[in-house]
Amino acid sequence: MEPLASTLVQTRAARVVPASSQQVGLWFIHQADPSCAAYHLLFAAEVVAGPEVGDRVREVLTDLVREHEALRVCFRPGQDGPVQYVEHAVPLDLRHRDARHLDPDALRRQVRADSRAPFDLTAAPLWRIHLYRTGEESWVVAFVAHHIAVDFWSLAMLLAEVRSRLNGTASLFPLDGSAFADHARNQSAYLASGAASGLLAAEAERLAEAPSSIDLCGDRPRPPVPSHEGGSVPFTLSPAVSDGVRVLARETASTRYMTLLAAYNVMLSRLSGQPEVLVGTPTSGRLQRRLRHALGNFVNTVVVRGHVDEASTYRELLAATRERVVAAMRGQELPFPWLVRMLAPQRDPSRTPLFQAGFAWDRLPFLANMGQFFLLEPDPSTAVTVAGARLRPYPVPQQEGQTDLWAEMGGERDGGYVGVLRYNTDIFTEGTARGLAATFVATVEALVGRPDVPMRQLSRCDRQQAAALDRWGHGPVRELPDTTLPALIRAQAGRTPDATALVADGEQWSYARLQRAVDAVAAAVRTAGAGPGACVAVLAERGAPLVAALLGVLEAGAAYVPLDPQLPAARLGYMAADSGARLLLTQERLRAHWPAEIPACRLDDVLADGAGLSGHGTVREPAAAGAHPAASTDLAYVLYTSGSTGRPKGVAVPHRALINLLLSMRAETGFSPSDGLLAVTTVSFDIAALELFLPLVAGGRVIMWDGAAADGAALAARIAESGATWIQATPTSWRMLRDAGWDGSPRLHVLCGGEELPAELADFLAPRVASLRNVYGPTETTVWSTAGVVRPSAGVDLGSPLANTQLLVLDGSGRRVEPGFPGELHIGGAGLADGYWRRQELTAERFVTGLPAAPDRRLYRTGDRVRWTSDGRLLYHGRLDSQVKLRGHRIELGEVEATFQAMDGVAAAVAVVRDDRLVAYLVAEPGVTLAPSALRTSAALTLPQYLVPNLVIILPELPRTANHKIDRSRLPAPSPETDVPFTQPRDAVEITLARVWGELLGLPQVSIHANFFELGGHSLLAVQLAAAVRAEWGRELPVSTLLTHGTIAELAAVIRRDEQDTVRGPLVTLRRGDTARRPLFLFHPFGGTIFCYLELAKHLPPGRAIHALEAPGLDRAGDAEVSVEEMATRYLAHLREAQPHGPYALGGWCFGGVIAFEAAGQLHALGEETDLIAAIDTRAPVPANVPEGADDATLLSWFARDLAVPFGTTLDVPAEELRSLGTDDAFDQILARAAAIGVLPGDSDRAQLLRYFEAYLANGIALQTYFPDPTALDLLLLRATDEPADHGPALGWEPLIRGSLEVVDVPGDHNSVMYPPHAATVAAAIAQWMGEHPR
Amino acid sequence: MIRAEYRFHLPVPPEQGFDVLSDPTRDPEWQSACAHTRLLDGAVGAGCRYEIAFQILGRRLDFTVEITDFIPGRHSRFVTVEGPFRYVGSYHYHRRADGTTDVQWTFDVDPGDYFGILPEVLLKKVLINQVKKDSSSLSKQLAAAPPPS
Repeated sequence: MEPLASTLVQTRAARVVPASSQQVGLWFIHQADPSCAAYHLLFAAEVVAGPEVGDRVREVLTDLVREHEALRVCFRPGQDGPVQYVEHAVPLDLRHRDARHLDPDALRRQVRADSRAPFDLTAAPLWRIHLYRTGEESWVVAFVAHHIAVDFWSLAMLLAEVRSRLNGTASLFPLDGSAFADHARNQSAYLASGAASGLLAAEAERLAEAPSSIDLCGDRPRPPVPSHEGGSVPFTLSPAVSDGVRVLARETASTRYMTLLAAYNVMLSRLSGQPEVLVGTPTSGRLQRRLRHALGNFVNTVVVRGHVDEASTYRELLAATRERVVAAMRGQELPFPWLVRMLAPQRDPSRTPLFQAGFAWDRLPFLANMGQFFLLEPDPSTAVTVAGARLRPYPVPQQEGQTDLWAEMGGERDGGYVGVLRYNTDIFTEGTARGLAATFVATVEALVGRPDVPMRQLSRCDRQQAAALDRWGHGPVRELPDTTLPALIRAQAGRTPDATALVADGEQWSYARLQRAVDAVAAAVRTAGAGPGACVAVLAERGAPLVAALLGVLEAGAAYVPLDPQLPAARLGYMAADSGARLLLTQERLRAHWPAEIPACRLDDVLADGAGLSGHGTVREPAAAGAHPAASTDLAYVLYTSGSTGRPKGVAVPHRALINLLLSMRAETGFSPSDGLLAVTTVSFDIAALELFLPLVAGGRVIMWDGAAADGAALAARIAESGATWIQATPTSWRMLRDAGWDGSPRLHVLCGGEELPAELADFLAPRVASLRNVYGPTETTVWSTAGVVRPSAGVDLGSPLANTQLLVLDGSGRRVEPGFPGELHIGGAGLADGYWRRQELTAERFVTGLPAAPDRRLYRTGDRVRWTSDGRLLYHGRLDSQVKLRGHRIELGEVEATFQAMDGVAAAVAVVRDDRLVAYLVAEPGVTLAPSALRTSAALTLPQYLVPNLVIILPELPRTANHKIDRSRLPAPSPETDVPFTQPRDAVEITLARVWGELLGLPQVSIHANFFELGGHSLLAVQLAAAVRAEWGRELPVSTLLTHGTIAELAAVIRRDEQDTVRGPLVTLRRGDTARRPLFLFHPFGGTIFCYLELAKHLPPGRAIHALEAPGLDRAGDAEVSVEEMATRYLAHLREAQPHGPYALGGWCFGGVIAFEAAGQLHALGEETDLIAAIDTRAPVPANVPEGADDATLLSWFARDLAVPFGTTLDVPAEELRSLGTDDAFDQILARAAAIGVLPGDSDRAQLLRYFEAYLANGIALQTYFPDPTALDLLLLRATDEPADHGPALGWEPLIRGSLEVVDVPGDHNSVMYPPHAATVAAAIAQWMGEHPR
Repeated sequence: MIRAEYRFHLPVPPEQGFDVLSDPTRDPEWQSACAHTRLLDGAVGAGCRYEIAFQILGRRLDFTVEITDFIPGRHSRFVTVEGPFRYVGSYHYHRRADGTTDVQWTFDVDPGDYFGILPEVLLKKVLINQVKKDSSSLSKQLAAAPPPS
């Protein structure tokens, strides 16, 4: 690049004028993102001209800069935001580059890059000209200006003025370069006026309860803060359609802008799935005549609140849009940033406020013959001549990334309207943006072509799009055999009778053995009178008999109803009754779970009676007598899922659908006879059917997992030792395995389904397994309808349809939606269930025919919101109804709500999923007090565990919208309510558990008696808790232990029980911190415990870890140290594992300050630095501070007293009383009284109390024998000012500290200083000395 | 009965170390807990008795002690004759290759109920810790002192 060419025009001091509200808004955006180029305005042209033209242009520009202050402004921080500086002398910013060696594409990239180079807003001018020499007399010229200084209208007026001056013709208008200076002041005065208040009130009313954002269904996860990066795609309306727009505008007394905005709103409404859309649209802001020709930035954005009802016609929509635009324009004098501030809408920093899509209509009548210069795809024949120079358009994208989407129109080419769709590349790919632009064009065409037909009757896809949708949405067509599942398995058993079919309960079942068991069960079922058309409930534990039972029912021609013994009895009873089951196949040991009033057939007896069930053998043909094999259309099973009415509903699945699934998945996966599948899913979850039957139709093995579903460590071990080559599980299960330390298996093929597969989990799984398939499907279409191998780099999609399966993405009117647009997934084909068992109305509602997109096809409405990408990938976008998936379970929130509403005392109930937790918000009936834990217990009597809310929150009332609907978005963030009063931890084990619980549950403090699951814990968090226990204590706790020991106190007792056998260091992490910052280490006070730091740790500034060191003797008898030096040496060994090198930050209360002092001295001797020694009311270790001797009873009395201090309570056991008891009885007395008031864990014994006392005495001895030499260390002493004992102004430290001795007074006495409310003051005092302290 | 043992090093020959450690009259010079000693019957040597007073854990303890073994540069042993409880102590001196001395201190004590609630394990630690500190100080003093002329 050549040196900057600059010409100074004048030299005088700058003038300061206020900035307008719009300018302030842009200034703040620039401060947040100084590299943002989204607000650069651009005009570029190819120019052929002699050098004299260049000289003349420079002269003209110099004159214009001299004449117009607006061209000499910059912005600098003032007292209340930026102010505008009008410089009296600014250089022209002309940037030359010799581009003769660049090919056209490289030059275009260079121009684009240069145009995006950020401005320094504090330095004028805020515009510049890039000159690229492309030949001897040819150039590309790019004028770039920051929007904060000029608007698009100003830029155009400047161009017109330059052209007039170069041509030597009269100016088109008198340019005003000074009016801008008063604009901000006038604006400010106006905004303080009653007129503005009136407009504001009207705007508040107009925008009340508008959607806080529109979700435009992007391709990528939205970043937390927008990058302001974008792209542009051009689009063109045909001349015919453009004429239609003109005609329609005329007929409806609208403008062309309104006509096209209405169509744009239709597109946005379809894209977002919302009838209401807020669209930003710029206005010139030049309402006053004096601003008509002013240079500067006056543009303002108004928000048009659109509402699209596709039952209406386009003409009707247009009329409504006109009214809405007029309403929006009434508020155009209110600057948008000011309006946002005043309305204070709910803000999401990842989105622009109020609107995320914009529509602009720009026409420049005075530059009529240069209109093509502003188009992204100008007419290539365009050329104009100015002063002998020949100019041709050189389109460069500009102003990209301001919002999610921004359509700019107003230009025309060949009689057709053209435009550009700008998109944010944070969320949209170019392919999607092109698709959106094409869809907009098609939408306008459809709407304008039939303006009087209800919009919902207009087709949405053009032929090309429809063809693509057909291609993507139809699975391969394969002929289905007219058979049943047991017939397929019998055939397999005939082929490989001795091959292993099942591995369960420690034994292997061959196919022959399985078949004999199936036949035995079938015979029993037939004998019981259950055959085709009948339902048979199967209630059995996981194992080979369960599989035999399911298949035996099918063999008998009946349908099975799987009952999971883990479900509540009431639910099992309902399912058995609702299905009309004629028989219960079950096991004696499950007798307590047997639903009443159904004849039971014991599997134990059936299988025991079956001759030759063990060993090898041949497979017989089905029993002829009395056998009525099912047809492929007969029912195979009825599976119950969550129902929105409060009762589960049964899904009736025929053999044909099951066969289609199994054969299709066999083809998809290539499952072979050498494969084994580890079946982990409960039989009441439909996906279990794949696990139990796919291997059997492929000649492979089913390996039954009978462990606890939530025990990740055990499952990981089973995967490793089972030899399984396939496993199917939900993302929740995979996360659980990952959290349990499972690191993959290269021979394992994985099916992952049941809920959305997060990208980060796919990233983890894919490289660690042989293959990863995402599978998707509702129970109603038989387990899975799609499958696809996941390649994380390409993102996670739902895969492709299985064989004989059709996927259609439809809108609410049953029309196919365009690629890129979301809609409800409808599934058709061989996998469809018959419907809901005995629920005809519900079946008719969900299994539909006659939709416009597929009039003759029966389709299941999934309720899932999906969309096809422009390259044919199906993406999941959540639910359209209140059904949710939580940890793999399908949950109808209505069922949860109905359950609570049926409870006595509950007036209203709402259930939501928040932060991966199911939360119920309840309102009590007047005069009733609801107890959350009791309510959960009641719910668990009828609901399966996964439907029991993790949290129950009692509210005085539910938040409601203006229409009195429950406003779920305003339900308060769930904070656990528990009936248990807060009790703080009582030893290091409990402290650590409390810290881990707090981190997992997101709670500031946790009572040691509160239940993990009542506080919002769930199975996945329980796995993480188990992992934390393993990391902290090296102990493998089965998750079942966490379930049965649900409080910190209970769990700590389990840990303590074995802890005596292990050596644990004295370091206890009170709070984890940023690993980049150094921790603070706090040493225990007299007595050795560290409870005293719990409150302090809460108030110390976040970011730095806080570790406390407790006395080792508390855990192990005989381990107490009796010298401060030994203590410090020992503690430093552990401390330096956490932080190998200094500088160190140390501290301690009471005796802890003495240890910190000694530790710092030892570190100093090792050449390490300590930059903080905080001694909290620590008396100096000098002879004068050594207390008088005391007898044993007095020592015990003191011990009891000090034991209770950290718990904010008192334990006053007079020495006289203890003296009369004798040592042993005195101990027992203290133990009993300490446990009674909760200052010792409930499981504390005499030995533990003795250890505590030993540590107490050892500390005392150490203090009595520690008289260190003076040292050069610095000490921060926090002195408790309310302490009655007088130990001098610096508590005796003066002779020991030769460095700096800072004494800070804090409120409280020696004991209370560490507890509320004083601990916060102590923390604040220490915080001042902590600084940032990076590692 | 508590047995406390500690081995430490003195930067002087065994004879010089013996002169300090095994002479009870010099105990107050290096034992921080020793408040006072007085020979009761003649020069220091086997059979000699002396009074010794300690200030330990806030208590003053007065004993009469008899030296039972006294082999200069090698070994000395002492036993309480009177006092609140019984103890037996000994020093064994080992010459290192560099001529300096390793000292093995052994102390058997049966405090009975004298220290009341103080666990024996702590008392043992206190005793060892005391000797550890004192011998460390002594070692530094001896290292700093000019060699005998």
